[in-house]
Amino acid sequence: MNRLKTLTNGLIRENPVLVLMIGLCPLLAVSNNAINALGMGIAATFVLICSNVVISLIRGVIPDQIRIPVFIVVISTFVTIIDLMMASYLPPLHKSLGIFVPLIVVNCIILGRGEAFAYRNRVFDALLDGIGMGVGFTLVIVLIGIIREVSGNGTIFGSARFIAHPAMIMILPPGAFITIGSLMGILNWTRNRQSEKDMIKKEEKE
Amino acid sequence: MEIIKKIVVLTIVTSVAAVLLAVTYKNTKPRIDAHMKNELERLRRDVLPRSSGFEEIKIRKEACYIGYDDEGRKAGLILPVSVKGYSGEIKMLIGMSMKGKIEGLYIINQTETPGLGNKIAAAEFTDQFRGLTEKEACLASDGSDGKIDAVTAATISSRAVTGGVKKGFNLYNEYVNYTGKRDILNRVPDGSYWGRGEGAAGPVRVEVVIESRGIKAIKVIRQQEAKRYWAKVKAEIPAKILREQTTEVDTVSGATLTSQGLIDAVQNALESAGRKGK
Repeated sequence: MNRLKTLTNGLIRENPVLVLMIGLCPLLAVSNNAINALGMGIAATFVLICSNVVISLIRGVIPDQIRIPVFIVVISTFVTIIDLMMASYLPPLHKSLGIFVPLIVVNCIILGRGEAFAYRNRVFDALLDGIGMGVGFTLVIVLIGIIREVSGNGTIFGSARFIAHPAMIMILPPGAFITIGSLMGILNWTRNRQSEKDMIKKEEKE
Repeated sequence: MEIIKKIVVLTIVTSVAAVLLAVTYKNTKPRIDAHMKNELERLRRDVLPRSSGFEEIKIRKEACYIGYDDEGRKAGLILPVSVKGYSGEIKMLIGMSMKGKIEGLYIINQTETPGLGNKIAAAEFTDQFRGLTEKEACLASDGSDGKIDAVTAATISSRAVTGGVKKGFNLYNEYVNYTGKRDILNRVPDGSYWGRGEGAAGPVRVEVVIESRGIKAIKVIRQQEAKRYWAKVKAEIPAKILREQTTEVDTVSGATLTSQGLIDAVQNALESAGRKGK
């Protein structure tokens, strides 16, 4: 049960973007269409899982004060190795993901989860957390990508245009802020209503 | 003691990372280089479809390529151009047939506004250039001959691309002029020919002797240049032309006009001879 919670934490309850509000920089940058968003999501998830596992494995030997530099070395080494491997063995994939891979280094979800979770938990839990957080990030970035692409360019996943006069602002940087702010607002609103209802229920019981 | 542990751990971690990176880099580099080479080759074939072999040449110090078709004839030129766009450099590759028409255009690199200016890299925009001549490859809104529709709300980015194409045509013209001057010798029958150029102080007349597709001698028939310039020019230019077998030689510094007069006279002789030879 506890493990299941670890796995699903990142989806909504502790969604890295909408609740923890980390990893916003790459999110804002590449969510202007659904395909880019999906690519970034998958690449980040992969690195997140790997770095979570490695950090959890070596946490016993790292002195507390130097953990952050060690994390950064681990993450950037991983990202560079993956970048080179992809360029050499999967060139088409590398071509479409090329610009996102170096961006992963600055994705603070990865450093954040390493610090907040993997450094304090066992390997398997760190793996589950990586999967959950990665999927949560991917879901949100793809959702934002779809919203922005549909409203800003009138297409979805690069399809034929079905809106004649889309609102250009949505695929420019302001559109990213508008979308992400609205999503956060909606999520907070529903969560607040939920907790209010729970409170009322509790009071009635008492 | 604590501090030593920290130093040791950090050193070990970074060394392991360095070794891993070095090994990965070394093992992946040959494959990555090969991919990049293939990619470039594919791009070249993309912008110049009828070509199968390439030869690198320098035009105005730019690394360009001549494309050859299956029978070894020149199919066209591949010209790399970079221009300043709306928000950064735009790099492109232009394929140009030997008739001076665009065969293909590919945007290699651009940082234009996403969703607006970056549409210049899409095939919808670049395909418009195919088959156009220098006059036609302008924005329709910029001139009556222009046949290019600008990307909506990205006129500056679009104009940057047509500007780049113009640069490509300049390189092409440079190449044609250059080879035109060189190839002329192949058409000239043996004999001696008169030519005339405009020096600093009046016409310069020469007689050029052609023998078995080479320039054999240059005789100056008449000139009225200032003595101190003429002496230098006379000593250097004919010797250079004879040595390099082309009129594409540097002028004598300090006597540019006089040099140019003599060079033009020789070129003029070759051209009139070439016309006869046809």
